[in-house]
Amino acid sequence: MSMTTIALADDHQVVRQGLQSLLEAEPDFSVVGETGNGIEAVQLVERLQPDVLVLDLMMPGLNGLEVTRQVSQRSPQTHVVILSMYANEAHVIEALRAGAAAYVLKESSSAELVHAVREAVAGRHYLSPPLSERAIEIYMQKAESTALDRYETLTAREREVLHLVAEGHTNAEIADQLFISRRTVETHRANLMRKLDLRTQTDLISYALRRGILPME
Amino acid sequence: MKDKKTKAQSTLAKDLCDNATGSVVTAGDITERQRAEEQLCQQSAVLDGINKVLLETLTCESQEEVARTCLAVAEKLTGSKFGFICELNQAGRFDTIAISNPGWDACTIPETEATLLLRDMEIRGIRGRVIKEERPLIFNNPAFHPDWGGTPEGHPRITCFLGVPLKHVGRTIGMIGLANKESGFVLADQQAIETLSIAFVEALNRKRAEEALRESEERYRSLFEDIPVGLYRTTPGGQILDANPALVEMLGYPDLESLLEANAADIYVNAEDRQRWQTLMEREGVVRGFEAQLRQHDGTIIWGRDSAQAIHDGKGRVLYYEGAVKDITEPKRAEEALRQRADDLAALYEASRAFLSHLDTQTIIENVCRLAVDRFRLKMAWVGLVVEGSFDVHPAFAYGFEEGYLDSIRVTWDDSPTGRGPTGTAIRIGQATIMNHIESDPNYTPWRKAAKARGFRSSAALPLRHGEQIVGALNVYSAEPAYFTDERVQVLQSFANQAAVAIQNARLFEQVRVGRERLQTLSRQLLEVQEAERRHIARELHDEVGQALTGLKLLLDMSTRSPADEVAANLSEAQAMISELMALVRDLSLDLRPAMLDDLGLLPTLLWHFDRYTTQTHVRVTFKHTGLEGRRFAPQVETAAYRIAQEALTNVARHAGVSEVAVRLWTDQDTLSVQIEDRGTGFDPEVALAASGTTGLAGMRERAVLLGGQLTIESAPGAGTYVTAELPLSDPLKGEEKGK
Repeated sequence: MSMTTIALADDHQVVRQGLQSLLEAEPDFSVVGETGNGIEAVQLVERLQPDVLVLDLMMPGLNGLEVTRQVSQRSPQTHVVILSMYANEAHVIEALRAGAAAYVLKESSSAELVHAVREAVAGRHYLSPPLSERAIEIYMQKAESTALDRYETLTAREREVLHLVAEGHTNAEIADQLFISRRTVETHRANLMRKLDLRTQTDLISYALRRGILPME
Repeated sequence: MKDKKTKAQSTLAKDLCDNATGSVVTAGDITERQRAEEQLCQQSAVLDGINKVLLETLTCESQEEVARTCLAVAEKLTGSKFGFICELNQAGRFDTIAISNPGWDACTIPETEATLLLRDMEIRGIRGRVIKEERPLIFNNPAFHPDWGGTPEGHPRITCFLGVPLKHVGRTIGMIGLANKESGFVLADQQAIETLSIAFVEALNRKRAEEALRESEERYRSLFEDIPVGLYRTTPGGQILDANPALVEMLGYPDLESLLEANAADIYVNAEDRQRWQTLMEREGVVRGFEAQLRQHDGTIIWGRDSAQAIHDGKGRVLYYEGAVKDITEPKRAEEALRQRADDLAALYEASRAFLSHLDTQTIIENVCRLAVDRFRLKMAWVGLVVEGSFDVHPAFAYGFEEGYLDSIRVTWDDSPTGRGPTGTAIRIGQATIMNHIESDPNYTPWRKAAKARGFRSSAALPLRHGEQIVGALNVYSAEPAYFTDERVQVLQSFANQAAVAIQNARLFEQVRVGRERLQTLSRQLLEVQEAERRHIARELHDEVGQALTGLKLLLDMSTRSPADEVAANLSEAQAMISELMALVRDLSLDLRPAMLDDLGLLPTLLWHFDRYTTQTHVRVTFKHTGLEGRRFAPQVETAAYRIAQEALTNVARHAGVSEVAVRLWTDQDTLSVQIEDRGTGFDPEVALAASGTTGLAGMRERAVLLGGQLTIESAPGAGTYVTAELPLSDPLKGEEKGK
């Protein structure tokens, strides 16, 4: 049986001690080094080239994501297992993108951590529940650009003003029609031009034509 | 008639004379007869000479020519070789009028010297004797005469001399001298010349009078032509009889003829001026320094100062008026400009005082318009301010004959038809822009109808400048076309510059005041928020964490005293409590500040927050965004956007009474915008912003403003709410996206 060499990086001495005794309870696991600092962690892994780095996401010096990134580059055979208190997909995705093999929540059981290390060594990904590949997919979809139509950002008033301006009404006429002050019309007008990224009256007319606000003739 | 008769007589005498010389008479007393015939012949020759002198001298050009003609007649009659005619000048000395050609030829004195010698000569010698004795004298052997003074070098020798004084009304005015008759002069010669001398004097005087007349006419003509003053003669009815070139030029007529066709009344711009002139002239017979506006041929108006008098005939009737006009347009203009300048300076002075006494923008703008209209005699003036972030020009105030003009027009400052008027152009190019002919200027087309309806004939716009920035324009209108001369515009621009400074000061003052007030409110709010936050954390620590820890301690205490078989169950319970405690602490820390915002950026943090928010409030979030993926912004921008969204969502959950909220996030080159919209109960933003604290609206606005951005809240009771924050990504070093 080959030994799995493990390095530990966590800024709390107590946590490191706990993790070490927990992992070394496994006969084929050997903790070969430990550190409480992000920069030292990178150097440690580079020197020792362990099979696994168990890494706290929140680290002084260099945060866990950055450590993961550098370790992946300098010691590609080292599998990174992230320990995190954040059960959100965004963090998971970032960790995976940085090159982590497993993402384990701090509130998980010790058995789960051991399982995660074994999965990582076997070249598989592991995520603590309730995190899942499916949840990540859903998140990715949400995070994708939703092609916001700038027109949606116009308030009801701004839309009214846009229509009236496009029809060629003066600010004074619009003010009369909407029972608001001329100054307010001007403000709406300036706001809507900015929101729609229009500069001139000509831009506005062509936008109105494009959007069907004005009928094409 | 007389001439003819004289000629008839002379012809008869000549015939007799010819007969006498041509035939031999054999009468008894032949000597007596011969003498009589000779005498008759002599008389006839003298008459012939007189005739010749009077007739021929008529066509002579000069006095000298007349004198030469006289000499020629005298020499022929007496048979002398040469002669001279001279007159006595004012100093009582001789001025030679003429020397006969044989005499001139005989003279070997160089011409230049001779000419000098011939003028202003001393009266002496045998000539002096003639003048002194005032009678004809014959010197047949002059060199032996005691008065003989000799001749100048080169002068031919004089063998004999006949001198005859020339008399006019009994007074000697000069003399004629003849010399070198071969046989010497005889009494008959003396008598003949004495008789002829009357004709000589007559001819010379006549020529002199003619010359004097011509000379004076010439002098008058050249004065009339050359003097740089307009001279004229008119009839009392206003017909122009004559005018000099200066007047023709002054009035801009192509030539004298076209001016003569005009009537004096046409020249006057105001008919009452001509009337006043006429009245003065009729009453006084003279007009002095009369100033009036005159119209040039092409319609240009000039100022003239006229002095004239009536010329009467012998019976006191007015023949014509004669006068002189001076063009005083320039002095008048200078005078007018000077007066204008004084007025302008007074207006500027008044403006600076009026502006300094206020610190309210609107009051200053109103004063600017009023002063402009009153002091620069305008029809209307208005101040247009650039609406920030747009091409619109907002009319802040108008004064004068406005009559709804500004409501009927639209003015922008982009390079479009509504932006190419004076206002838009002045703002766009930052320079005073003049439209002196509203009637015809193509750039004025969009407003022409409205402007003409109100009698605006010319317009100018003066940019209002705050340092490099143009914040608006002062727009002025006149009822006169071409009213805005360069000088006037220059003064108006100074006026506008003062106005701009005053407006700027007032704005700054307002900003400072508002800023200070806001700062006070904000620091008070900050303290309140801080206290609330501390209270919250204290309560969480005490109520939740503290309690959990107490429970844990009790559990562990219990375990030490429990029997062995219960320890495992106790520890398992403790583990569960610890997990709960960890979650509690994590939430607490996330509430204070989500680490994600620093680690992962705005988009993941917002997504995470929405999940949590929906879980806690049961309000669903519809999130749309564009341009955010993979982008990071400056930490302060991300924090502000996150906090504003968080705060707005909290407000929605608390006040809006809805189960759904829309959040939009978008970015372009230089702005990050976030918008939260709900269709809930809504509120009055003014009231909500004024009631500081509770809603945190002021805090949200402050976050945006601190970054140089803005927060707009659009809401009304029952109409839902839009909160939009626009944050500039301005700081080029920190604001650039980091990328990944």
